Amino acid sequence: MRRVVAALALGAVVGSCGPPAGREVVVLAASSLTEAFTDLGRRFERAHPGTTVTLAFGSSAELAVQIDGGAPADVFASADPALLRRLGGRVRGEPVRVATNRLVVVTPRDDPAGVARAADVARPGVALVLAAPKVPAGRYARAALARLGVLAGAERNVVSNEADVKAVVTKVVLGEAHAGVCYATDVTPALRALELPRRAQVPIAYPVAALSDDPGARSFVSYVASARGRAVLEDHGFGPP
Amino acid sequence: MASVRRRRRGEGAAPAVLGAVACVAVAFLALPPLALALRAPWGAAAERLSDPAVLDALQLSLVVSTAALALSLVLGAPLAWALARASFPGRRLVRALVIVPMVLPPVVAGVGLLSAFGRRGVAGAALERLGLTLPFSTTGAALAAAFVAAPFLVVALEAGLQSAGRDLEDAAATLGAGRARILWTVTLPSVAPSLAAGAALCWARALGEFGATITFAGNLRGRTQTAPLAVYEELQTGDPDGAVLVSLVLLAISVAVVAALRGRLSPR
Repeated sequence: MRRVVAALALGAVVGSCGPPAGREVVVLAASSLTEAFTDLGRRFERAHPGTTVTLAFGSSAELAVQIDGGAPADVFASADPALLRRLGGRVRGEPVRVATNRLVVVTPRDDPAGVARAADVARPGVALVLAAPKVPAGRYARAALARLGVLAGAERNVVSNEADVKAVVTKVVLGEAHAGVCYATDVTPALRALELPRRAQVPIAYPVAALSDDPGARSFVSYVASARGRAVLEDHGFGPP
Repeated sequence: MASVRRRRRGEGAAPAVLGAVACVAVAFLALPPLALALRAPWGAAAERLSDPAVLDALQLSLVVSTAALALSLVLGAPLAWALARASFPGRRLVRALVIVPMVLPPVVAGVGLLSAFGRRGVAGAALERLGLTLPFSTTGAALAAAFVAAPFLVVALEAGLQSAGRDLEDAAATLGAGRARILWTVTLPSVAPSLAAGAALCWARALGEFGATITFAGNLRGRTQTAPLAVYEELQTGDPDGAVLVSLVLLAISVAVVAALRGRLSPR
């Protein structure tokens, strides 16, 4: 019996030691940055052998809550500058704006509800999905629809408030919703996208900030903000900062 | 009395270690609910809990769980009877199929429901043509809850029917009672405890359903945002106080269910 207890104790001590050497940079990024940051992470790892970039995506609102709750993140890339500002003391150094984005209305390829223009989402009978109001994508979408003058009609058509913008995309791709509002960078071949008139566009900026003093954190932020990093973001459909 | 106290060397250690581990286990299971109660912002409770969005979510939860229970009873009771009393080929397969929703991860259940009853689903496409759209509706939320909760009812009722046995029913039949009379006066009273326990578990499971609901029915206040979904949204958008308070209401309901079921959850 005593030997079993000793073996368990030894195992616990050994198991709690981390992996040798190898730096890890934990990056929390808005879900709209999924493809771009996965690409940037791989490139950063190739440029810095021995470093692993661990990525976690979600709505910026959800990530901010996790960081506030003590999540061990080194870098935060938000779709909303306000959320980053709210983190206050946890941010190290100056946040850097690395990209911008714009909104589009999306429908399934076969457009079952006949949504010809963006404003058609307010037409009775159109099943619309948006991100939840407190999530950046949901906030921006409602602001854009308000600028278009169709917010009241669109709100009546909302059938679901999704947790993040990628969930909006999924519901439209599956054909469960007739239309959704997401970022231009989220459009896939399975979707049909409608541009919003210029007057309806809202400014969407992506600040990135280091949350720890880890040199890897600052290094990654600098990389994303560099000309190389911004070029990768533009390749993925983002606008210049 | 001295002979009772005499212990062989080492024999006293095993129960003590087990007891210690058991205490850790109790702490592990009891701490989260207790911590919820301790962490709750009691001062703001009255105000937060009377928020229309919160009341909508709680009311919708009650409606959806009760509808799910009703659906489970209507579909599940005959199924339980068939499994307990009838013999047909593939009975074991049917029983296994009935248990699957119980062990399926809820979000997987949600994806399955979309594949079956979604607008472009196997059965959903036909329903769509008839004008019935289940995703994003309260009916859809009840359906999702029923899918994951019905097996609890079926399993409990089947067990009750099996243990009640046919003897009393056969005796009533030889005394001349018709089938309906037997069902009402003999069968139902003998399975009433199992039926009540199964129904309570079914209702409680339906109340707590999250993964299948949010995937299949979506999240819209007043239509599909049940209490667990409201808790999730409050957590995701930086309102932990609201999340804790609604969680406490759900916890209180769960404790009430456990109290009502006392004695029935462990095997006799």
